[in-house]
Amino acid sequence: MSIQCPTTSDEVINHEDGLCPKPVFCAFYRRELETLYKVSQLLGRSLNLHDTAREVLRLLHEEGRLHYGMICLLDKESGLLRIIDIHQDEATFTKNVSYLPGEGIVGSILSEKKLIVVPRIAEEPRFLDRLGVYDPRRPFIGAPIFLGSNDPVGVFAAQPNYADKFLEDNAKLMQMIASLIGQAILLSSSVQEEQEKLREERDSLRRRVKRQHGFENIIGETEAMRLVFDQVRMVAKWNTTVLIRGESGTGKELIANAIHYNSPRANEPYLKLNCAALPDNLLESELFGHEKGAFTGATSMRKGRFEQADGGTLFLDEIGEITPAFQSKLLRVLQEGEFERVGGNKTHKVDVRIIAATNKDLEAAVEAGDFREDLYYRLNVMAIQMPSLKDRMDDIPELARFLIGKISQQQGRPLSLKDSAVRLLMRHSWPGNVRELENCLERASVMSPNGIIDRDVVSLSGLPEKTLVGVPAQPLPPVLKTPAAEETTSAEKAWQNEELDERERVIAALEEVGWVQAKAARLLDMTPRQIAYRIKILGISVRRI
Amino acid sequence: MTEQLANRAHAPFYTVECAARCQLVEFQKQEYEKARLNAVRARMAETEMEYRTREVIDGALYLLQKPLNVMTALSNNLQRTGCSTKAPGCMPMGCALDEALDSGQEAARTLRLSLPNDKNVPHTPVNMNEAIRDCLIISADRIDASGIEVDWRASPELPMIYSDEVIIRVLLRMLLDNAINAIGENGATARSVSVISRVGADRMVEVSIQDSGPGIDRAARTKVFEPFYTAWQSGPHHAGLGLAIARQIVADLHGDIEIRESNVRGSTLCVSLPAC
Repeated sequence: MSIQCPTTSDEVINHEDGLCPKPVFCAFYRRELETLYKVSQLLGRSLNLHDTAREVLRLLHEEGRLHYGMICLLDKESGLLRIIDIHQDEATFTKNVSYLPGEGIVGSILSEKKLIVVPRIAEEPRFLDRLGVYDPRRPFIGAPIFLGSNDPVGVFAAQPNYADKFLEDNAKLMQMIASLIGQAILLSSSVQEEQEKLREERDSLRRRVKRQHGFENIIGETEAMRLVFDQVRMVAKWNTTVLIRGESGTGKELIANAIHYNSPRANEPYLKLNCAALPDNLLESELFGHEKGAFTGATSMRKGRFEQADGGTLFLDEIGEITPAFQSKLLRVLQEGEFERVGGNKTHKVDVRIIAATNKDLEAAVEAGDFREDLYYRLNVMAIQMPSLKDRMDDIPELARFLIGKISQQQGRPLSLKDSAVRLLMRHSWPGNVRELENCLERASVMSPNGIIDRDVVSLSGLPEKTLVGVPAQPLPPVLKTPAAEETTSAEKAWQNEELDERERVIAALEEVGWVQAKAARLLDMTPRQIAYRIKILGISVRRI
Repeated sequence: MTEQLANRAHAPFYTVECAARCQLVEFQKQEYEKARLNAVRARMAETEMEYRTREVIDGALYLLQKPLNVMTALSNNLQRTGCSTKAPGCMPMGCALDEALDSGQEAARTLRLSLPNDKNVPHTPVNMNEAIRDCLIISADRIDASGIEVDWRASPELPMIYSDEVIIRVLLRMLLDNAINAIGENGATARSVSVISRVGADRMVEVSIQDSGPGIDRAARTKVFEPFYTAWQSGPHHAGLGLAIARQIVADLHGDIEIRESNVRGSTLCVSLPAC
């Protein structure tokens, strides 16, 4: 390659000026300053050293001053000097070369912690020529990169032109560039450290949220719920619109959470919006965002939920409540993934998975013309029907226990649920589904002074009287799930269970016979007087039929 | 000191015999290791096949379910509008729809029956580093053939994870295969794969597999875990199941899999699993 003198062009200009007594030096320093300026500009452009290193090395090479520049940094884990980047003529693959501290000339710079200038690299015994890019006839300068005043963390090396009187000055320039690189590394590493910390915190929070919304937190052993679980599992991994239907309080939102957190999008944003909560206009600006000045009060541009959820999931609750005008706008997003902000004319494209939920009879709404048929079919590709609580009565004991555990955590005191209470719960028809059950248990736990939730507390907390009366048509289903009682329940009735305390047994017997004391006495092998006495001393409140 | 001297004094008598025995022991060790690896390989192939079948049938079921759902909704609506499809000559379209629905549901039922049974394998503590080592040895031929340099940095104090050792190896194999495929693509900057195991936050065991391939677009980052999605342009046809299976395995183990941002070119797949 041709070697050009760094000063040829400038020399002439300065001669003509006739101002500088030593124009060659003057031009050299001017160029040196210019180079430093450009390098600092490049380093300040981005925090990513890999990008800037390449630019800096290319600049130095093309300036014709420092050829084949190389930046190595110490890898903390392995203790090796690894090449971050090296300027090469054409090869795009960087050779995987690393140095031990003290190994070769590059390693020596690191261990000796000082600048090394070699007038002719071929004469240097420590030169290993591992990379095979350096010209053996040329000088070699290597400067250590310092972060603050500690040990060097890397090496910046390059080959200037043939040894000349500028070698010392070139070395000085190299040192200056090395310290600039050091500053850039210091800055980027502190930013990176901060980012790492944030990322770790984010991951740990994300993990916690994920754990809270996994399948483990949805209770259900009944066939109806199993079907739901299977559907959720299948649907979760595909990027498809899901419609969750079911009465209010059946846990539609829980299912939506489970779908999102078990999908490949689990680490992406997850936004929720209750469509019934907002009037039409607000809903539009909420979902699609608005431009600055779109309407009175729109003082700034605002991104809508669709844009915020790009790449993630959007949960639209109460989808059945939106007006036909809005339905058509929604349909377009569902079909094309495109929309415009309110007051804007630029079309935005997003990749959002929609999970919709409703408790409305959409078919009836379609028939009545309140709900667009095309939107109905678009949403209905994957429908999950949540069973109402009265269709999964067998889940109540487990659900109640789970909810009591949750409430006990919230209240910070131990709560225990008696079987008499569970039996009572199982006779209610639960029009408000699981939400009603949760509210009922929460009330009961507040009413209970000692943390024991039994029949009386539950009935005190306002379970309607009428559900308590009347003889049950069929024998009571087994409700005892405590391990000790598990085997006895199938064969025996609760009132025969010796493990329970007397109060529980008396109540069970009374329930069994519809609160006729004489019959209950017969069951328990007592006289009517005995049972009346027990009812009195145990403080059982007797229901009158 | 004296013991050493005594040993040295004895040494000449036993050298030949000892060397022979050592050789034999070494040979036996090698043979044992070979046999073990073969067994692992066979079990891995079986488990992988099972996962593939399940994924394919699940996918087919899902794809079938979509039109079926729409048809069900349509048929329900037709019935609601008052025209009973059962009446002869009333709505030939309705009859055809019902028949199509029936046959579709029958097909779905048949498919569901052919799903492989969930073998409830008991989970035991598994050493992640050992699993990585086995996978690297098993894939050694492929790695060599593609001329890839593997940089494996194992953390020496890695806690065990609670899983099945074959399933973990299948998972690692999927990730490793993915990395090797990536390097075969256009736009690869170098031919190197680095495998790093370490202990992350919250006592999670992290394994990251970084390749120097073309990298994964931001937009495709969630798509790659979907079944049947494939971004490979070169090489033989791929079913697009590898990462979907990996995700499934990780999800079953209550772990996390994600594509991490990194400042080098290529993609970094990071798996974190709870330590036991």
